[in-house]
Amino acid sequence: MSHPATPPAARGGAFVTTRWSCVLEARGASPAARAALGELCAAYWSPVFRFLCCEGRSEDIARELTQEFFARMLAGDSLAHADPAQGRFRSYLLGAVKHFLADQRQREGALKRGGGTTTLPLPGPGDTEVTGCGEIADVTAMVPDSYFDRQWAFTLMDRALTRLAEEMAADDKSTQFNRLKPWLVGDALALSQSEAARELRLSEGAVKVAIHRLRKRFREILREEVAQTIPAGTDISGELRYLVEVLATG
Amino acid sequence: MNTQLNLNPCPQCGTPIPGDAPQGLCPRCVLARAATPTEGGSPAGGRLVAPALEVVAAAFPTLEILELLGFGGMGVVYKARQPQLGRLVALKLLPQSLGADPAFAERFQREARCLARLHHPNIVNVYEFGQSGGFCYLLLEYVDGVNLRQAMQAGRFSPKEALAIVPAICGALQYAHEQGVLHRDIKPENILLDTQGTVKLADFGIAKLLREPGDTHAELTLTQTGSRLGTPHYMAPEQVENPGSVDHRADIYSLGVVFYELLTGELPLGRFAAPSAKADLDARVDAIVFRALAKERELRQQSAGEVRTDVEGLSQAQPPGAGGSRAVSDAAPNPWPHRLFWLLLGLVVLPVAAVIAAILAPILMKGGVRSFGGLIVALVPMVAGAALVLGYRQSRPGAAQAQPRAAWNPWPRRVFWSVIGLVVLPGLLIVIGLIVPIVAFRQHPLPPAIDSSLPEAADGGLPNPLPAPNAKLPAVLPAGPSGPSPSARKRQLAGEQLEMLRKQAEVGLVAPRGQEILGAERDLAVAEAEVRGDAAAVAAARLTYANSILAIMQRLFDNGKVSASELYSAKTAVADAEIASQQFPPAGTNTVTPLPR
Repeated sequence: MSHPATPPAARGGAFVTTRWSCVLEARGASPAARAALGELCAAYWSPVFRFLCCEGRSEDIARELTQEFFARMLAGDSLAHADPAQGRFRSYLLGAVKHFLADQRQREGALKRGGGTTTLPLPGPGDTEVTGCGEIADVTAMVPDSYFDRQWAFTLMDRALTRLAEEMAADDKSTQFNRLKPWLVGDALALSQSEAARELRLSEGAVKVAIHRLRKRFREILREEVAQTIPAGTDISGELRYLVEVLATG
Repeated sequence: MNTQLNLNPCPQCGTPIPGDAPQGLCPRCVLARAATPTEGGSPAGGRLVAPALEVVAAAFPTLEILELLGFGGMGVVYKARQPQLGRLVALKLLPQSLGADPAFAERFQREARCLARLHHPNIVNVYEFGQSGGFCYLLLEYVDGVNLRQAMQAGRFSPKEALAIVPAICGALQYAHEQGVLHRDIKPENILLDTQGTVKLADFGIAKLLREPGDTHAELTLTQTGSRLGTPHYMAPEQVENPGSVDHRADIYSLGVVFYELLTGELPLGRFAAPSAKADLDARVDAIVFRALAKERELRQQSAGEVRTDVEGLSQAQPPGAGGSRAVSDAAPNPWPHRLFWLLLGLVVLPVAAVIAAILAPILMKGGVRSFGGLIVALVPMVAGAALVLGYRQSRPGAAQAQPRAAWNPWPRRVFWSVIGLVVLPGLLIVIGLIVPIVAFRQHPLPPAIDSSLPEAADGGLPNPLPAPNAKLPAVLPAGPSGPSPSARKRQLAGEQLEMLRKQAEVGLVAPRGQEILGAERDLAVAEAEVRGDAAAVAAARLTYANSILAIMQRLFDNGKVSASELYSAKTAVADAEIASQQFPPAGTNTVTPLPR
């Protein structure tokens, strides 16, 4: 498998404000909201792409479909229906993908029958059920929602790690990051801290300090990233816990 | 994203890491770890609410309040900057309710002044203290690092690291103790490690500040705020039982707990194992840790400097290779020299003492104080045994306290030494102490007169080996050229007997003028007369004393103290003496009459 062509804008682009809240508040109408949505879509391009791949399409076709999906989503005004009080970007995106696929299938079928093209509106956030198109919902049935959520968690983790790596690089600590990142996993490592200390020319105590800092900063960044995708005031820990559960059961 | 097929299991959870896991790290573990609440730095019980940055900034206009660092040391700590000095500081705010209490405020001033005097490379400096905006505050040196708790969470300390950290803590403690300041709340949260790996002790004396005896207010307030008043696991037993009596050795106990935790990753609770059983350690470390953890503070190291010396002694004497150290240390456990000393004492010195006692005993008995001598013979090995057991127990570090003894290394060895120390050696000593005197007594039998197993001689005649004096007496008179004559020896024996009986009379064992003493006096008088060759005096003495003894026996018989046959013997003795004296012309009873030659 080759590396998916993640748009460069998505890599490590730190959000300044809570993007999804911004999108929800403006119902996608303001230029700022459109920009925020654009950034979010770029950031979470990968779960959509992988979800589409998983249905048995080739990577090229999946990539084309993904581009088309985002293009339509960003052009559409479906967010007018979005309710700021509920719904996460994750749920919204999954619902939109499913809807897009259903619509795609319907169009393909209609074209075969020589019919016109009618587009259905994108669902609102939290509206994970693709209503009104029951006969084609089974298109995505073979790919469970949890697969999308798993990919989402991977992307989230990747974003946080990339940001952390960039921060460390800015402090001229790339070597330290690469050497110490295994400790982000936990304590039960057979890895020797004294060896790492020797390689990094630090005392063992200093390595412990560095590991603690790395973990703390990673936690902060991860929470910031989660915060970008959920409505303001929503429990960040709750969303993180959900993703941990998805990974544990997957 | 890394999309390589990755079949490596996660070192943490053991499940295969997905091929597309970011950076090849197990997403499950990374996210699970990040999703758990932050380590440390959170208020105990979540009830302590940190004042907002703006509130703090308003109370401290000369400081730039940068961020909340965490909760600890019974207060909230902020990172701040002193713009004028351009240095970072840590601002510790004590609960606001305390600042409102004038008694606390006064004590705070007093204690903080003490703390501000401590300057040591391993102690967090107190720059400033006081009250501002209703807060009692301490302005502290900012330590760019983590506390030991967080460091332990980042990974267990290697023995080498732990052994490097402890001396630094000891140095700081020793310094503070010399300044008369106790820490009172040593625990991993109060030991900081900066980015250079330097150890810094924080929160000196804060525990006392907030826990002045008799002041329940501070304690109450803090408990209400949810701040923990020191964790019992790190507190010395006397600190829990009698907080008013603690001295610097309470800090040494707490240090012992931290030391144990650094080495093993666990607290020394219940039947805890020796550190060397938990980590690849020189077993001599066990002795140091157990000693610091002794329940009785008298048994602990008596200063932090002593702990430091012990720990540093390990690294100096130990070759750098850690692998071989264990085998060596198993063969020579640390308490061994002490045991050897006490065993030598038991096997050599104490038996010698017992033998001396055994030699002394007959001499004492010869003097007549029989029961006293016997007591000494019995007591010496017993006292010696007790001293041995006591010394043996004390020579084992921490042996006298419940916990470490329970956790003392392998059972068989422990039992073996306990049996040797407590049973075999004292038993052996007592046996030696008893056998030697018995053998000694057999070689120097006691005079029969004091042996109660022999019938009492009512007339004192029985011990007299001489036949009744008669005309043949002169035949024995000439003294041989070599050695004393039989008569002279008899006189000497009689003198000794009399002397001994008089001593017995002094302690009430015999009557001062009883038949025993009269009998002995008679024997002496007879022997003296025989030495002189004065047969008449012999007969006279016999007659005189026989009459006196008869008088006593008659009285005793009248009182039912002696039997008729004993009275009869006394009467016969008088009759015999009269017959003997008839050979000589009547004269003064004690008049010396020269034998005709």
